[in-house]
Amino acid sequence: MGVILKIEDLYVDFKTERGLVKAIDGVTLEVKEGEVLALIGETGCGKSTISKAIMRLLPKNATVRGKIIYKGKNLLELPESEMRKIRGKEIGMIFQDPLTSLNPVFTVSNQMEEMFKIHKLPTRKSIFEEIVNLLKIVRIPDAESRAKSYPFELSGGMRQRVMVAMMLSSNPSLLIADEPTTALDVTIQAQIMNLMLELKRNFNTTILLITHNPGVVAEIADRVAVMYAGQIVEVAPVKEVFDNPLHPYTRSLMRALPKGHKTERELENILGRVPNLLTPPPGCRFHPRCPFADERCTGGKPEIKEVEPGHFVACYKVGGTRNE
Amino acid sequence: MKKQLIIRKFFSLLLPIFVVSVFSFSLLHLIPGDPARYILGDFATPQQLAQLRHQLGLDRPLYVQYISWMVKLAHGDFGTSLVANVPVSELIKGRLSFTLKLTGTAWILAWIFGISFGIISATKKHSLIDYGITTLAVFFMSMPYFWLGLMLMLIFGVKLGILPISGPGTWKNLILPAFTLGLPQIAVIARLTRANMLDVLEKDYITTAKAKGLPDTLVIYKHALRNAMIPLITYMFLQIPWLFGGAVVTETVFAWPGMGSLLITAIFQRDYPVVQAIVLIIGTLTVIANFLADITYTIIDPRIRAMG
Repeated sequence: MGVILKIEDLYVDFKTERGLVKAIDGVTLEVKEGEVLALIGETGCGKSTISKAIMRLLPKNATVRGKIIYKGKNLLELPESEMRKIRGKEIGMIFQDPLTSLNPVFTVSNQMEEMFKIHKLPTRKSIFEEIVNLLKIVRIPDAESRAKSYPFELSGGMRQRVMVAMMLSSNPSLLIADEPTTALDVTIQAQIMNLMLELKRNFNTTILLITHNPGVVAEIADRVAVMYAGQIVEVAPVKEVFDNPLHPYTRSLMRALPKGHKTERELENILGRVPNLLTPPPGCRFHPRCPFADERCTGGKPEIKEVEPGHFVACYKVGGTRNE
Repeated sequence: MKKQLIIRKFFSLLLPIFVVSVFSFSLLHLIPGDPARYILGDFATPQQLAQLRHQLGLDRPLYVQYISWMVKLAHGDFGTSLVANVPVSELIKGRLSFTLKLTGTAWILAWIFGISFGIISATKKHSLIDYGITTLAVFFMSMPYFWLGLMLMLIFGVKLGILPISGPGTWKNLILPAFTLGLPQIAVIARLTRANMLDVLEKDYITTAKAKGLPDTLVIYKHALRNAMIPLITYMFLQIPWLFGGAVVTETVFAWPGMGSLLITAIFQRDYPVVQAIVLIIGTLTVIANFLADITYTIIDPRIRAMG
């Protein structure tokens, strides 16, 4: 599998009134063609910042350093006009809250039509028929009249389907789904997830799934990247992450998960709290909460390295010295 | 459903128009002054005054006068001017078109410039041009019409000598009074547009529009502006009474032969029928403006349309 998206040493800072928020701290990550890569982490760890950085949709107070290479091109160096051809056409994006991500004053078909017009997408029939067809693919009942509806006339799950259909219209190579099910209730979550899996199978779309829900990850991801406070701590195939987590953060995260059956032990929580990114701890940002931390961890940031085939960890305590 | 809504809203206009008619009638009778005295002059005898009052019907109880005025109104009769002794409708007819021309022009100027400056200000937030627009807006919002009118006269009429400063005439005569009336409104609309645009540009659907690869022009002029305009629509019509109010002063300053200058003269002469008619017309236009605001709301915002 080729690499479709490569993030290299990405830093994102936000200038705020209270100081510089160092949101992303040297992230390196590869997304392979045709896979579902889940980017998982707590709220505020920088997952969404990465997705917006890829799309170059960060607010003006953000400064971005590093490289984001998509199909050989560094997106961070593209002129805005070239970037617009990538947004929506090459890379689609679905957002967290379907209730607010569609424009309330335009009909579904009006908003979907824009994709066809802006990106000059090929159509076999009329644009409207293409739209109805797309809505049928995402299983919207009564697609023709739904196309003429306004977003407020549709339920949350429906609106998320519309978003999926809209982003699908250009058949993008990469789909970034930024917590696509967080705002939906559980049954609808499953439907949207199944829909995305189906799309991945039928259209071979690569999906970068951003979520804080490990259940969703277990269901659809091929590989998982775990983030903590703006750093990637572990990247591994999905089974490895759940069965054999290596980074202390991932391990405590997994121990904090309910397993779905009764166990003797109580769920653990991770001691301490998420650091303030105005003044992040030096070195490994997890070290203040890590039971294994020593001087080395406070000094420099640990490099992310492959400790087992396909299993990458950024920790001094893992790898060569793992069995000590 | 939509038709019902419009009909229901239309009937809800009748009450405010009735209230306007009562106020326009009674307020004038509450202020001191006697039209008979004004017509006959200072040396009239009490008998002469009483006789004229009787002739004009002013000695009848107020409610009787009100009812007879309403009955005549229902027949399209605004009464006869006490001073000029011609039908009020004649007096107003020639004046109304001048006032509409002035307020209409000011209204159009206000929206074209107001929205444009508002958008520039919002998209170039915290830039020099944004601060410039804001400063000018606060300045023009705070200036009274008569002072603004005099300053424009001084600059463009007297110093530069490029525009006429008084009376009706060609379209050139309209420019200064229209800007006098329009500038404060341009300022208000620019401020409102800026605030609403900034609010809307933060919304998720704007991020969606950008993520779709739409160019800035579409994002701003289609996705953002349409939403930013919704709260502005009411103002579009609610400002109409302000324009009529401002027209009274502006017409007087520029000797523009509209209803405003007629109203001022009529008030000083205690010419009841003329004042009542003009206040009633302006009041009714205001009520209608509110009605139109409601209707436009439903057209621009599908969510209100659906609520019916």
